[in-house]
Amino acid sequence: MSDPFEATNAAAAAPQPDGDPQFATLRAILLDEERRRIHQLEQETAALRATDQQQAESLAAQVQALQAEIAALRQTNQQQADYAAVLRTELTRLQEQLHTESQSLVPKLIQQMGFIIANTIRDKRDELAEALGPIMSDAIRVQIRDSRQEMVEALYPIILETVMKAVREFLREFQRNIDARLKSAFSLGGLLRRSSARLRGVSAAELTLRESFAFSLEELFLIQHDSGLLLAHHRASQEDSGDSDLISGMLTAIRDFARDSLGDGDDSQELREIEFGDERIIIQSGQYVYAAAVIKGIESTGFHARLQELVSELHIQHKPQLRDYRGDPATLPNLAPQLQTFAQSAVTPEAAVPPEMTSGQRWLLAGGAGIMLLLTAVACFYLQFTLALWPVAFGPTPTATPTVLPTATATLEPTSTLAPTATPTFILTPTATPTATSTPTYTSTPTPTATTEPTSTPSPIPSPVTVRGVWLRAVPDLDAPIGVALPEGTAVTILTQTGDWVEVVWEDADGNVQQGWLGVRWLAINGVPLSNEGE
Amino acid sequence: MHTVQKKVCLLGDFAVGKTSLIRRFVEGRFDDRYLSTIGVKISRKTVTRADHLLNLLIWDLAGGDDFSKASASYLRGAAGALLVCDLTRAATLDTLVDYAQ
Repeated sequence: MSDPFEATNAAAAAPQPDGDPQFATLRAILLDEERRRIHQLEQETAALRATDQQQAESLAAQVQALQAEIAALRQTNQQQADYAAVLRTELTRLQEQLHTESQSLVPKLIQQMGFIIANTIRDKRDELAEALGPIMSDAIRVQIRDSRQEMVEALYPIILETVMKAVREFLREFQRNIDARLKSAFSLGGLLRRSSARLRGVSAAELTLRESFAFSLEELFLIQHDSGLLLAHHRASQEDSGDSDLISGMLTAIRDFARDSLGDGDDSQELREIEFGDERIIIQSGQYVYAAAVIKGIESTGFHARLQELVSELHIQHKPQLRDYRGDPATLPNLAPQLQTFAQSAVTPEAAVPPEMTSGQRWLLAGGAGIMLLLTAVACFYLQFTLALWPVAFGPTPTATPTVLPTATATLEPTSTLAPTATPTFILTPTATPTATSTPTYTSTPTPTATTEPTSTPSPIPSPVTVRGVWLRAVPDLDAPIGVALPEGTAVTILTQTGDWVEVVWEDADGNVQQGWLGVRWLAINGVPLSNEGE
Repeated sequence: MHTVQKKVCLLGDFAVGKTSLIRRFVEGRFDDRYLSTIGVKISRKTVTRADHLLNLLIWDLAGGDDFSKASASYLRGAAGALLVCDLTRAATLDTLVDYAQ
């Protein structure tokens, strides 16, 4: 293919036949621009050809590289397919092995899982609780919604035990309050106290508590459950009552012993109270620690509940520290002030001091007391009057009394202690006024003043005799030393009488006069005992 | 000075000298009379460490042939235990294995 520009240039550069230089100059002026343009186009064309050649070569090289890569990928794909086939075979084998050895693998896995879970619970307790808390809450909520009956049956023993524990605590406190009220209600002081409390507008129990201040919180311990280590301690008085560390330890040992020995394996049963002298130890338990309050007197209403609230509040505020307590009190610096605050509030009456009685109330109380005294006096007078008239109205007629016993007894008994009665029991019912109680003499002549109106003929009565063998004593007392023994049937002479004792004299076989005291019940006259006591 | 409390239990067969050991350690004396410990006896010994006081509450548990459930409950919360045996009685050494378990 021929280039038209080359032909033009050649024609322009060729010498003209006429050889005119002007023509040549003119031609050069007219065609020079065209020549340069043509030359530039030739260069661009060459450059484009070179570029096309390079691109063609580059594309060819890329095609070759892609072909090589495709081949490599095909090879890799083939290898992976082969490897997948191998894995599939291995997986099939493992599945068959798992299926065949499942009976032995499951226990191993359970054991390993148990270890893992136990270690996680021990090392990452808080994280586990935080992670499982929402899940368990949702699960419980869903279970309650979908399987309410099953949840009720599952939770029934726990809820029942909790409710029973609360009811037992309430009944115990209720019984304690009832006992305290009954003790004070049926006494004179209780009646007066209740009357005063009514007038002052408060209950008798509150008034009693405020007036007596019988209840006092001596000490308060906060002790870790398992170790018995003392976390905090408050003592009301400054005097040292013992080593609080050892007390808390021994208290924990006693609780453990009681629970293990008497609890029958039930950990919910715990020692709640210990009594020693006039002091009692009230124990309220929490999850990690328990409180032991040493008190005197009858605790105020709701004291147990408030102590339980204290333990619960401490658990809420310091649960991680209480759970992880290893004996360093610095980890729980705020416990002692809380115990002190509780101790102060426990012994302070909740209500304000009741107002004093007004003058009108005092006058009313005084008037009531005066009426009570007047009624009491009238009642006493009526009772005495009735008792005095009773024998007159319903007693026996005393007409025969003086006819039986004459005053001749005065020859023996100048003391006139032996009064005449219908039956010979005149010792007990003297009708005369005995005036001569001095030392008896056998020669004295008594004045028989006891005879009121004797109409019968007096005759000497026989001497009293002993109804059995009896000891004489120096004084009228069973503890007094014994003297001589009187045989049964011994006749004696009565000198004096003191109560159930009589002083007698008798003459023994040698003619010696013996004197001493014996019980009147051992004497009888004509077989009739002088006292009815022995009957 | 800062005080830290620790509970330490003393274990071993009966009459191996647990109480005597503690009496010597705590009170600095020895008594050759033998009185069997009933239940548990708690003593305290304060030891001075470099930067704090260590308040040891030592639970001297009664020894016996049967390490009962009640005695086992005394071990809860213990920071450590001392196993005591009588070298003149080999059986008391063998018993320590049971206590350790």
